[in-house]
Amino acid sequence: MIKRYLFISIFCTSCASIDYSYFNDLKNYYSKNEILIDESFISKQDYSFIKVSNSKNDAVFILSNIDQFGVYEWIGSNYESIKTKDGLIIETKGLRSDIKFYSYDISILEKASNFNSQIDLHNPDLIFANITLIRNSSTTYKNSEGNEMNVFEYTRIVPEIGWKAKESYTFKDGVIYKSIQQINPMLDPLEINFYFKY
Amino acid sequence: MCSFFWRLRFLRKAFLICIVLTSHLRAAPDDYIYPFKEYSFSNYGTLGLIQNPNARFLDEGSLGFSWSHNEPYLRGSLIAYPFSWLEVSYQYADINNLLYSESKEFSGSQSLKDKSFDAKIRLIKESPLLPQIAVGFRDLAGTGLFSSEFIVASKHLSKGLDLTMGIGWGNLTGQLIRNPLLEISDRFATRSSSLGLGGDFNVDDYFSGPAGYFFGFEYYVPKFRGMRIKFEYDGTNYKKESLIPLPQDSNLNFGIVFPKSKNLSYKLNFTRGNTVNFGFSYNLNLGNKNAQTISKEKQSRISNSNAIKIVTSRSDEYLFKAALKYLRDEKISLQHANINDNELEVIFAQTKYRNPVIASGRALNILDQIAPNNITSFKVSEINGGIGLYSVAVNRNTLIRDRKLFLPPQPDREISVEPFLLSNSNNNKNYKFNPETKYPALFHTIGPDIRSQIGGPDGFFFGDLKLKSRSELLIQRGLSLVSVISYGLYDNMDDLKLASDSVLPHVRTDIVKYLKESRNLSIQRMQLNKLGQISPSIFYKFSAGILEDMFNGYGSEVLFKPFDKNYAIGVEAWKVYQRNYDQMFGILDDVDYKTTTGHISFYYHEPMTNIIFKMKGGKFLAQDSGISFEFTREFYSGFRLSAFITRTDISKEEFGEGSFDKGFSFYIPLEIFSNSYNSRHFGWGLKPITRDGGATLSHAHSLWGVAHKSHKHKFNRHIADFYD
Repeated sequence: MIKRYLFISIFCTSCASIDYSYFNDLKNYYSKNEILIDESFISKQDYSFIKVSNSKNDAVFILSNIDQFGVYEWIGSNYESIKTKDGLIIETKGLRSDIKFYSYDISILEKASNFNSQIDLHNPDLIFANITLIRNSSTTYKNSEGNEMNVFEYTRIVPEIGWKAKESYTFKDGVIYKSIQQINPMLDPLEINFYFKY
Repeated sequence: MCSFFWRLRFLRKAFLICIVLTSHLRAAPDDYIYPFKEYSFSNYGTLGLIQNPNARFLDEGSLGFSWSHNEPYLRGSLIAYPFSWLEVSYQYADINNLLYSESKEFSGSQSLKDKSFDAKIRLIKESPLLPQIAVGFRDLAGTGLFSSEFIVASKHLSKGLDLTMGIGWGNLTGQLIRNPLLEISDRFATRSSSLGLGGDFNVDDYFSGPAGYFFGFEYYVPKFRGMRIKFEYDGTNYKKESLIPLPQDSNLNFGIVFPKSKNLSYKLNFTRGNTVNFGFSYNLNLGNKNAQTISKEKQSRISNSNAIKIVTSRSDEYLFKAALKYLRDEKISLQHANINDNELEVIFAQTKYRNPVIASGRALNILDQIAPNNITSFKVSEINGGIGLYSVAVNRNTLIRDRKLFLPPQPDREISVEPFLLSNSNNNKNYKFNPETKYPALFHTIGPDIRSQIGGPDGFFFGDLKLKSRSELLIQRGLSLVSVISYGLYDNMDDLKLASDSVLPHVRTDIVKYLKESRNLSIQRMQLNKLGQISPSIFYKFSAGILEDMFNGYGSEVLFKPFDKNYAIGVEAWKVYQRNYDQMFGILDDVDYKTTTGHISFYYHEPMTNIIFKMKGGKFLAQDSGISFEFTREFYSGFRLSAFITRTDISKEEFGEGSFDKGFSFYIPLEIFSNSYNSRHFGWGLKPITRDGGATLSHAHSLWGVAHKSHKHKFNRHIADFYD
């Protein structure tokens, strides 16, 4: 029986041809779509802007408004909006998943190490969940150009859904320079680089 | 009394409202507490527990790949879901405790390889009270090494707990019980223990012989990134499975699944009380609109539209030239244009948009932005080569109103969609504007190509890497030369020596000779085509040259396909000559095989399920006669899953291993993965066994492919994309 089966198996060959000429399309899907921000790019912009990056894409958002609470609103090319306060994303609209803080009186720069608020998440929806930001560390150093850099490491906790994520905020001479934070536990962290034009 | 009833009604309403509100609020956090809820794959490569199957399915249009290493098996599977109630998979198993053959001269020390088809069909959909029930078949038409049938039920018992239990036959008889089907008929009493020729359906054995039971559960660990724990009472009969009984120290298996993302999962299991195994799976839903992207690029508005309208109102010539420019910016090539009774008519060609609804919608949107106000209606028609595809006519006010409201126009009421005949009467004299098209025009791409020969006795994988050039030279409208030329860069085919044993003319089984002798420069195709149209419903094609890898020749195809009907009938006939193995211009002198092949084909596109049924009867390449049946499910995104079987007038013995020709294929539009539109696609077909019976000519530009791109049903189905 074994012999018979093995003899039959001899002819169990398959042949296939894969055309890889469209490899670029798949490569683009799986690789990162990067935007290079250099001096030339910065000089061409009329307004302050941020570069928002996740593992797959970079996007540039332009500053559209600063309100009385120091909340900056940034607008993307498809009218998505991100509101930040001291680098912390407190509201988004039009992203794949959105977040909204109920309280805007949060400041990463304040001396208090913990902040409590409530958030809404959208897609999937989560309404009025408690969130706590716990400061783990703060570091100050001078960079090679002599600027004072402050790095604050935080942990974001939303106990109701078991969301725990580390994030960081870097300030350059007291002005937000870069942040890495997650706006939804099912999405990659967002890295935001801030470019202010005065 | 009245007050009492009023209160009762109020309380009932309040109760219902509370239930609705609470269920909404409770449902939302669950998406975070139990993320990545897609069901996971078993070691067999289909959805299931660890070794046992379950009754779960992924969404229709999903495509998955699963790989597992469970000694002595390495198993890779392709799994597809043509419907939400049907799972089909193709498995490749490496059995490393058995040799490919006892003859070392023949297959060296290569381990045994086995291929199989599995299928699972949902019988009852899960409801609050009833479990989901499915019937499944393992190794459905293979050699029978792993053949089993099962009826299985799965039920969500709580938020994170999915319980499965079932009864199996064949290899799923580790825990023996009396076959309950014996109550129905004695024919279920015995099961053939011998392994078959392979490729055929052993229907008499299904659900026969002793039966066995199995059960288990999958528990989703809350707030743990979708991790789940699996536990099962193994139903596999390890004394029966494979050819050497496997030691089993325990009937209990357990494992964990770690989802890395919605698509990718890793798994680690402990089976038989003595074996640690691991694997991963990857699945994608390709069927939905924007299945893998959030949205597609929006059509940008023309910034100085009002200024352009002032200019184009001065002269028709200005309007035509503006249309030429702004359509070209959208990758739409204007061929002819005309103005009749305040209607602007444009004939265009394009290759960017796979979907004719989007192509015509965008063309109309551009014309609306540049045409002066005295133009009250538009008509756009698309042509492809020498063939007219469709015309869309719309009143301008309707177009503007519907776009503002984001309402798709209603076919036959607000827009008129008609077939378009590109005949000799559509010559330059009939149109006021005829931009010059420079012929010959060459379209050319170049890229790598991999050919492979997998699972033969000489070695598991043989293949080559080639640089492939594809080009299409348009000599004049409707007349083109399609060429595919490749040059080998690397291969490992020196040891590939399997010779054909076929008693039929070797129209396909000399594949090894073709692979080995075409390693350097080779021509896969150099086909001259003349495409045209006799009436709006009748298309024709004449072709000659190098038609495919193995045959030169000439022939013709005619297709009758009414634009607004769901059926088509095609006739084709070819005189072909077998090519030399080096795949250059010569034909095989020593074999001198030539034949006439031809078919009559009937196509039917079922509009509710979007199944395209194709029946093709006639004389095949090896001079056998018969019928081929092909079923294709076309999803909204354009993703297609196809399967075919061919039965001809040759015996199973003449056909050889596999008994008859069969296979499956995928067609994946690459715009699924992109934020921009493009008409490129990735096509991949697989026949488990390369044999000569039922082989058909694989020529380029089939008329069905050209004409089916834009028929009336496509407009009805995709009309919501009109303003995309």
